[in-house]
Amino acid sequence: MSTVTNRQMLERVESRLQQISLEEAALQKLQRRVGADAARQDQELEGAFDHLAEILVPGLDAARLDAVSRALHLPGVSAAVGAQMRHTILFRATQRRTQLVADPRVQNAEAIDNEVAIRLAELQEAAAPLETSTRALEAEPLFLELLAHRYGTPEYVVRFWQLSYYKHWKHADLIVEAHAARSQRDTFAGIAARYVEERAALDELRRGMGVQKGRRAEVKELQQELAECERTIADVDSTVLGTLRTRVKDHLKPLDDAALTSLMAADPAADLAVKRILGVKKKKTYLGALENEQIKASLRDLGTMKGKLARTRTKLGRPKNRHATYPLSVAERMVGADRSDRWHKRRQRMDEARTRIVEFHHYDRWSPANDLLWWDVMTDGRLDGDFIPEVRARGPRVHQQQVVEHRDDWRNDRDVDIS
Amino acid sequence: MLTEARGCQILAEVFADRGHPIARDVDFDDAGVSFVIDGWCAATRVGFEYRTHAAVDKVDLDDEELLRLGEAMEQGRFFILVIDEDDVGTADDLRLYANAFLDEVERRRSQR
Repeated sequence: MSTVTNRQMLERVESRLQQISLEEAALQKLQRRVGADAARQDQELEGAFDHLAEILVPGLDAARLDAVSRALHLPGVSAAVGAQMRHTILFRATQRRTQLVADPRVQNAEAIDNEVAIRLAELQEAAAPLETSTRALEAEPLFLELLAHRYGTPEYVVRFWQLSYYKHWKHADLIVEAHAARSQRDTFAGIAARYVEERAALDELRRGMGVQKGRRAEVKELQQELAECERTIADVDSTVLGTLRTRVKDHLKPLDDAALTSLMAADPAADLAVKRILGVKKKKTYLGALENEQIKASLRDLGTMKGKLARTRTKLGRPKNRHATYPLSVAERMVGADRSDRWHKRRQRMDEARTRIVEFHHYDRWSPANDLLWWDVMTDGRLDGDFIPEVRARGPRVHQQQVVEHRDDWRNDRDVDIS
Repeated sequence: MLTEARGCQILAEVFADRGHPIARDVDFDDAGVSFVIDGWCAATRVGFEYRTHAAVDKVDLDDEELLRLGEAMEQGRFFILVIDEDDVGTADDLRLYANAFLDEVERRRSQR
């Protein structure tokens, strides 16, 4: 009878564990793709509702608006409401436009801008020498500190026994030496007093510049508001239409599938748009089932298998088993067969299901009149949808028999006993 | 910035050159203020105190005590150059200021 050594057993266990890790990584990658696909369906669904709203409210035709309002039991989109909305927008915009057009600041915008430019130039010209003079002093080391201490005045309180007294004295002398001629003052106190005067004058000029810039900004703001009024008036119809469509969309989104389906009968033009909504909702459901019932379940089973193999490895690694041998049949039962091909095929089926769901766009093929599930329409009944509750509940269709045989593959894989 | 040790060394040299041989870290007790002064010439009653954040001198010698010392110096009873480390620039600056202080001390003593 063939036997397997303990060392060979350990090698087989390691090999199985590596296969499991690879399969786990592949399944996790597939799970991420399915998650991203599901997220994209949310955007697709938003677009589908937008499309349905556009079909139900193609324009501002009064008869059409009233028909939609009645069909949806939604008074907020009636022709009267739309007309009132249009009137209100136009009234406010035209009223404000009239005020703005009559505003002297808007009427004289160009003149004001020119006047501001001239005043700013005058103020800047007056400020320039003051800026030069004050900046020169502010750049001197300790000038602002000496100013704060009121050096050279009776308010100066630093005493002869403090080092800063001499530091102040040195720098004050340097400042007088550098600036006496320009400022026509021969003491620090004189230079400081001149600086204070110049600084006050400069601040006043800067305040004046701020006022002029404020006038310019105010006029610009009014001109922008006038342009906005013009746009509002020009775009009033599309604004009203957009608002009505949003109301329709907000009304439709919470409706259940039956209520949405009833819209197909109410308005044949909405037939395909409603089917698209229902189909995209099903895509989300199926992708969710694929992730939860297939991928996550497979990952859980692989985890269980990995745990068992790890325990087997521990047992095989014990010193007392170092020289043990095992009959081949026992060894195969303990380690289990190589299932990587089977796993690969199973994962391919999951990916195929994902692809079928995501790439399906023939929403027109589904009809509430027959008993076909969306799954049957998306896959032509050629893929096993047993992981989806509604498919499982309905039972296999005749032309699904070819895929039924795959269903139990995975369950058969679970029977590994390595106790 | 100069360290307190280097600053004190420079001040001691300048004071000594000007006839005030300095003893370091001396107990000072006058005008109701007692503290360990960084440099002091008992013979001429001239010295210096270097106030740094690290040496917590500002805690040892508070503003009220400084005022009392200042009043005594205005009366000419002794003369202590009080240095705040934030005021010290280079070593040359410190020498310049110390000499100017000693000039002022001499001027005040000559007027008495």
